Amino acid sequence: MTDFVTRLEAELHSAAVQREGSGHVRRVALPRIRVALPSIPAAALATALFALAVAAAALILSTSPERAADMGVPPTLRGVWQAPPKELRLYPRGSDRCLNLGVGSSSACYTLGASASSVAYEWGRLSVDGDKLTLTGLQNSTPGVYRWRIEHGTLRLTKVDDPVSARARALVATPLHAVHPSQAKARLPIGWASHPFPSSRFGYSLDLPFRWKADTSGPADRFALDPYRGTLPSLSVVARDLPPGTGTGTWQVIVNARAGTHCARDAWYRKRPVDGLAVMVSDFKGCNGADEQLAIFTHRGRGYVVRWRGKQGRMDAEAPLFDALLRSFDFSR
Amino acid sequence: MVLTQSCSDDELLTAGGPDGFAVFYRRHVEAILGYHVRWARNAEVAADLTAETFAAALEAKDRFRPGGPPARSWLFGIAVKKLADYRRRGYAEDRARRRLGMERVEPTNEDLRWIESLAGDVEVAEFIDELPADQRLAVTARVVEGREYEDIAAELQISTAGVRKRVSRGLAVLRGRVRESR
Repeated sequence: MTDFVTRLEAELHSAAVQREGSGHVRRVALPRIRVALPSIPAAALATALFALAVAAAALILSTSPERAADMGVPPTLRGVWQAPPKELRLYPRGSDRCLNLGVGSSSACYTLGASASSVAYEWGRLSVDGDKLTLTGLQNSTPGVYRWRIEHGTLRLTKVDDPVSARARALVATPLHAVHPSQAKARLPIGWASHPFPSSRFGYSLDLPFRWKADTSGPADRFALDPYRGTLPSLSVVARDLPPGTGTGTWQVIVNARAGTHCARDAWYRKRPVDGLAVMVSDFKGCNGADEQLAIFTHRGRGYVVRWRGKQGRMDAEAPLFDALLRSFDFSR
Repeated sequence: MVLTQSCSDDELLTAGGPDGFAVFYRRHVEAILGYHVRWARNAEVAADLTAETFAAALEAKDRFRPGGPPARSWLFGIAVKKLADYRRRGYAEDRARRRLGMERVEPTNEDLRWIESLAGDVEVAEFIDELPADQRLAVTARVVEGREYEDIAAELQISTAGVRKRVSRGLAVLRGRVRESR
């Protein structure tokens, strides 16, 4: 593929995302206003009216409350809110947590879970429009609309409309108190990886997080929110048939020798289960500004390399995500 | 939907979303570029026509119905129309791209050389133009566009054997013309 093909793909993809997001085409060119020269007074009048309209619009916008689509979550609303045993977390658009939960980078997100364990059992998109807060769960896709206000450091939610009664009960029963984030570190939500993906060519299956997609067109299976555009974090799996008697140690030597020594590799190691096997997982600073986690192991005459690539400095937060994906590996399906 | 290599064009267009369309694009971009450069005889125009073809396809994909003509034929139908517009107007239009807010993608010299290499034998392309209409359609669909016999038969509403015969006769004529010209 040439540069032209790649750049055209990027343009088309961006246009397709816009269409998908808006339901139809955005960025439609505005019609040109043409005024004939003899009608100069009309042109002057049209210009004056246009300027007045722009000024009025600017005035109205400057006095309006924050709009959900553009502003995400107001800073006062962001963070961790608890009313034990419940916990509500509100994250701004583009946060790593929203990306890892499969919400994407274009929306703010929320999690609803247990305050004692900080494990979420529901999460999804969040939008704020003035004093209206809309929560749309990824699991049930049903939006719940609430009015919010903050009084003396507590968040009070009033139900406007929410067909999910459990969510409404959790949110409106008592005021939610702000919690400093470091006192309640987020854990991996239950069911984070729950979409099975079978790979017939490499003889394994694993559970993918919601909205993650697979690209199997290359030599390795690649998984990410958008594997075609190289978004991080991403996971790749590749397997090779090995000569009889090749053990994990030999396979690791082969893989490490092939990987070369282009990047410094001061690795940390931990042992994790992969379908009943105890597998050594290493994490290190990889190439191209990404941190990597690597599991190299053999199973039934095949050598596997499972690689996680994440943003720099996110290793501690993303190690549990990689561990969860490794736990979901199954070679029997 | 999990996108894999085995997803059909129909699935990519109807349920694949933006990523599905990207995979569909990658599958067919070379064939569309080759088609345009063969008939437009200009790599830069071919690049513009290809961009316009895919932009129009993106706009129209909601109207694509699986189960009808194959998606590749549908795409080539758009390409044929864009090429015809180009021949009529003398320039490659960019209406679909403007409606989508797409920037023009300028091909580099290396891109242009590669696109030209997709043209193959331009002389043969000229001879194809001179074939009788039935043979020209069959040869173009089979040899230039690389479509399946069954697919062409469905479009022309004749049997597969009929298509094979037209392609075979057309190629025989072309071989003769090429031999005469050398």
